[in-house]
Amino acid sequence: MPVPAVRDFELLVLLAVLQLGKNAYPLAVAEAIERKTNRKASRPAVLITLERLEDKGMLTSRFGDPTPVRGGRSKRFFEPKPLAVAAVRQAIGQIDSMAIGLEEVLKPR
Amino acid sequence: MTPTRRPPRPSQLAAAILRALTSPDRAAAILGDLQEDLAGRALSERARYPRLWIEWHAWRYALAGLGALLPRLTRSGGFALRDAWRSLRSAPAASLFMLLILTIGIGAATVTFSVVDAVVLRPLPFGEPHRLIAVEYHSRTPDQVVVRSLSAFLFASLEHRMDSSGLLAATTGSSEVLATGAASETIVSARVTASLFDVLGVQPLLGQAFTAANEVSGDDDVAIIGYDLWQRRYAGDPGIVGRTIELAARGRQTGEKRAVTVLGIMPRGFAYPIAQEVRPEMWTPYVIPADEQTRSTSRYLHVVGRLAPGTSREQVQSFADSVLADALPANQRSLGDARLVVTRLDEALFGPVRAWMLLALTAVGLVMFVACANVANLLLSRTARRARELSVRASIGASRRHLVVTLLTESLLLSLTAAALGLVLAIWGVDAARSALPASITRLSEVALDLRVLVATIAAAIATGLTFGAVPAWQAARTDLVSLLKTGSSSVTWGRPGWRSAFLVAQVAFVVVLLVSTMLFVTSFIRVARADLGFDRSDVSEVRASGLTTQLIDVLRDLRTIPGVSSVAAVAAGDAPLIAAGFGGGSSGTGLRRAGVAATEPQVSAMMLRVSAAYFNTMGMRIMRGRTFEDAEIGRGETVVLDQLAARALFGDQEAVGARLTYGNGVNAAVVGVVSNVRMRGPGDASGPQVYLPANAKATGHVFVLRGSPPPASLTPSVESVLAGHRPAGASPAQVRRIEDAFRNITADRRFAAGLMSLFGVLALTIGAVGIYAVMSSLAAQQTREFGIRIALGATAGAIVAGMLQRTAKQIALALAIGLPAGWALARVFASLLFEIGPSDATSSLMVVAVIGAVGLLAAAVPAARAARVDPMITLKTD
Repeated sequence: MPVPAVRDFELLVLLAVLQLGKNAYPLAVAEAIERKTNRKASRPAVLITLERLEDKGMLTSRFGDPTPVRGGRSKRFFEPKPLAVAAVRQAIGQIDSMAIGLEEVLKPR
Repeated sequence: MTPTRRPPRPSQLAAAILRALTSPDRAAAILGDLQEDLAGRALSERARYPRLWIEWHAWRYALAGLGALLPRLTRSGGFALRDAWRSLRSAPAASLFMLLILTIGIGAATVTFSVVDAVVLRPLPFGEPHRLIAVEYHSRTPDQVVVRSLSAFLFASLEHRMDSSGLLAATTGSSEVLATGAASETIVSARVTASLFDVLGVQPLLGQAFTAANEVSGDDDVAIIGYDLWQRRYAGDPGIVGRTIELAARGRQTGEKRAVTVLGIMPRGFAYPIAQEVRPEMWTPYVIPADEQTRSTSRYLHVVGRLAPGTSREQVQSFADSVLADALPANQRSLGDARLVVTRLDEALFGPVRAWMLLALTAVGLVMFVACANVANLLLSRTARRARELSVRASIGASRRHLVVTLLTESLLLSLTAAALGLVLAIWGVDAARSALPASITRLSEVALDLRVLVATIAAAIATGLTFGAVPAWQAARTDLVSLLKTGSSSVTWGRPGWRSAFLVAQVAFVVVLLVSTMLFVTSFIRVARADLGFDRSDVSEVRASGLTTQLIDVLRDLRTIPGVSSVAAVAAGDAPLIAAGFGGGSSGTGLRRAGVAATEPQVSAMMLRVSAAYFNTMGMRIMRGRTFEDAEIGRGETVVLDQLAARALFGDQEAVGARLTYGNGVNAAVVGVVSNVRMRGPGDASGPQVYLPANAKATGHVFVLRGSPPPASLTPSVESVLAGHRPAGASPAQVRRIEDAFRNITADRRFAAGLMSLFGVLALTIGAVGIYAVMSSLAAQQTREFGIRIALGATAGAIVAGMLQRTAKQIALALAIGLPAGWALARVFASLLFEIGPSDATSSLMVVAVIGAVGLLAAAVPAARAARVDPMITLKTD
């Protein structure tokens, strides 16, 4: 099965899901991206991206138990499927390949 | 204790939209995220207006969800479409059959809707059409006589009474001979009061409308021409406005002309009166003749009006009542209670047609119901056979929602494909309907497939698809498909068979409803065709010729020499039976009274016809008493022949022949004979009393009637060559029409309705029969195992067949029990369109029972016979 290409924001979302493990729900994913990248992550955009990745077969979702802080509502947890790992690996591999020979240019100053 | 503060929530609307865009679970998770996010922000004191914040973010989620919905829908729609296509392709014969049924149904519905829409549903093409009224003169007798026109006196009186309550206008049909240029041309025209264009709210495209000054004799030599005439005759030259054109002078010898100034040109498409078969192309001012200004003599005006804002139709009706009360007792009495009736103009124009159109729409609706019930049943049978496939799909993860969407997509795919094919069919159908419908139907030329029809067709197709797809989909949603698979049988079935029986009964009941009306309308038409019109219409032709300069008796003598013609007669122009029928304004009436009765006493209103001596024989009328005219009486007015209604109205039970009467402006005449009453407007429209006077001596102004069967191709040249000796060269060609053609034209609506109902009836019956066949086949297939066991245990083939037929007979009986009363109720709605037959006519109903019974049992017999031939060993081995 060919590994689908992922876009910039999709890659960030997938990486956040992989890092959060069993605790990846939209709000946590958005906060993780904001924390690590220091850029604003729109909550609706994160949710839409998660659902799109689910449609593409990279993630599955399940509902957790209701919690009082959420007004008794459940969290919707997303979990990576093997295809997600393959897609992330492919995207990072592509970036690495393109960066070969640019070590001097990309070196932090 | 401090009360616990409820955390802010988004509005119910935002929450509802979120739930609508996604599932309730997912929406709840989003709202949970929002609440958790807000709680976190509150802790870090970042949310200053929490209520506003949560509302704003809920809407952001909703908007984002909306944006994401379309591609998701497209994607899942694509999958559903692919599944539906595969499923339809897996049973090509059944799919094609369903497609065929739906295509015919949708095609027929599209054609019918496009006709009904153009003819009766669209508003009149005049300004503020809801304020337009028509005023008609109704004179009702036990024989249902209706005369529609008003006299000039009544019109003027009512117009005066209206004052500021509105505006009235009068028109009367006419014709003009355009004498300018090389060839003369006869134009259908209308003489109208100056107010007509203001009443209709339509002004000339170029030039101006008439003014009150044009309603004075001597200042009335002006005309307004129609757009088509302007283009055809004057090549669209705007300079024609203000120029003078020459028309043949009215009522004078051929050759005399009158100069008329063109005041204006009407916009494209304008025509009034619009209900005429041939649209008028020229309008000239109507001037009330001096002798008609003070009392009613003849009635020939079609009156239309515009209500002033704030004025109701009832107010005008009360004016009309008082005007008639003032006018009638003084000088005229009709045979029954006369009334001036104020109606909406569209009701007056389309009232009768509207009923026909609604009938057609109802009939096609019933066909659609039969088709929908049939396709639903076929889909149900098919889905039942696919139960195993659906179970497998459910067990490997297809959601119930996905299966329902697939089944609904399948039915929508069928109905939308059928709509596309139906539209192609309708292109041809609309042309066919335009040529098959009576040409006299108003706005028939505007019937076309346009955007309105297209939208209606697509909406109908979607509604149809959802209608017949709903039950199979609903069944799929309710059935536990996975546990179905666990039963392990190769002949997995699901869904309750009751649904299929219900659909079968429903579709047969719809067929019964339609067939009841079909039988009634076909019987009606047969009775119309055989109706007694008071004369023999076969082998009679009418000849209309202008410009005759000789004596009538000479023209009659020469026409009689045409080979094949056995008898020739003449009648004053415009009065030949059936030919003049239509909305032209009704027949004109004249007042009759017994000799010696004062002119101020009530009179009998009768239609006056001037005829030649041989008229009664030529027309094949029954001479009931006395004699008809003799040639010597032509050109004189001393004798009259009455029809039976006039004789009874004037003289009651006394002998009319030999008595004397007074008519018109005091002319005294002897009654020499009594003849049959002639239905001038055809079988469906009774005519009032008629009085015949000897024709004028001069030939001009007469229409000729010829009895005999000369070859149709040679009749017109023969007539031309005979008339050549009686009129100058260059006269417009004579028009020859068979009275039978006029009869066909008058009864065209009934013929069309009978034909249409027959077509729809047969269509519904065929679809219904196929439906019974399909359901019985499907039931037989499902019961093969049971039949095998029963045959193995000794049941005979006859018992199996009888069992299945009994089952069908019960369903048909139930359908008849529902369909017959519904059919009678429907026929009662359209009872006014029936002719001499009641809505619940027993013979028609019995025929429906016989047809449905025979066709239904025959359709069930074939699968029953096949089921009875089943080999028990093979059946039992397969399971």
